[in-house]
Amino acid sequence: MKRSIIFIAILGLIVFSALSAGAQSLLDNPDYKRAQELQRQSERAYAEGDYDKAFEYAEEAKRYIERSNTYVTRRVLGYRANSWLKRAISRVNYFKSVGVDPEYTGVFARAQEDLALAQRYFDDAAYEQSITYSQKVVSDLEGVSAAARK
Amino acid sequence: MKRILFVLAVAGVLIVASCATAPETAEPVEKPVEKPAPPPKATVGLPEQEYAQAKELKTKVDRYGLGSYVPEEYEQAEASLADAEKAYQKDNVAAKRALDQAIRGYNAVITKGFPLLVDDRRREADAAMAQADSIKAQRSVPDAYARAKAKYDEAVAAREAGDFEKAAAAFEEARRLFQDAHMQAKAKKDRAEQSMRSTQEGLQDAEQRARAGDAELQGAQ
Repeated sequence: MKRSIIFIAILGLIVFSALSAGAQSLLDNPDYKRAQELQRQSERAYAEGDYDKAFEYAEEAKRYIERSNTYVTRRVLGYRANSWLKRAISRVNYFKSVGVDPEYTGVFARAQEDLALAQRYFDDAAYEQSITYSQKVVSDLEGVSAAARK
Repeated sequence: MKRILFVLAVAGVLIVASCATAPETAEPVEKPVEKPAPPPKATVGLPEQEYAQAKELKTKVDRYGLGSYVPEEYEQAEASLADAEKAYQKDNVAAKRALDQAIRGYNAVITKGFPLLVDDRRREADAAMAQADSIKAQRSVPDAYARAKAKYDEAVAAREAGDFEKAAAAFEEARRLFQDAHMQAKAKKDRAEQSMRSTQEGLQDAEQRARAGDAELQGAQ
């Protein structure tokens, strides 16, 4: 009985998460919705023969499309930056936990500095720069060996 | 004694007769018959006024192309005018006769042709108005459309009042104004269509970007 309750609860959580993810579609942004509404207004004005209004609405819609695209780009870039930052942190934490071969101490120190920069850029929402530094950290630590276990 | 009395009587009669006024003898006097000689041709005045009038009517008929509506009468009037021009200054009587005929002919062309011309012009104006209506010019270019409609109404009023010349000109102007309104509306319509099309493409592109972004974010999760 207990098991089935837990199973149902987990299932509910999964469904809720899926629905939440669906509701958070990037298309749900207000700029995209406004652009759609303006295009509908433009079509109505056009059908009524008010071509000046139709033109104005369509042009205004373009501005909101631009904003929507900027929003989507930023969101995607933010996720990419976050993803790369997590990988970089994970790699640095790994070497922190296992130690670094003394030969690579310098490389590891630079990787930590680069990680700090990646984090700072991320916090400033400078995602492209953050990705650049995170990728550098991951790339630099690829050739680093862990310290030999005693 | 009887002889004396007789002589006296005769003498008295003679005296009385000599005192009386002699009666007028009214013998008819035949005057010589003078046939009026025909005036010399050169002395008949030039039918200048008729010529000017015929030319003026012809100009009007040609300006409006009325000849094509009543071709027979137009050709007759033209022939009469040509005859008159041949006789002009040579046989002015014949010239005047031909000019009178030409004037009657041109007037007939005007009387019959103008209503037909006005009907044609009205049909053309109606077609231009329908074209402007089809593109909703009344809404998109209200001022231009109102100008055309006012001119059209003016033409209809002139037609009803029998002022065909004014009606023909006003219908022609109304047609031009409706065509102008149509062109203005079409330019605005084309501009709106172009903008709406590119906005639609922009929306589709934005949707694709967002869906691709959704896929990436969901993959990352």
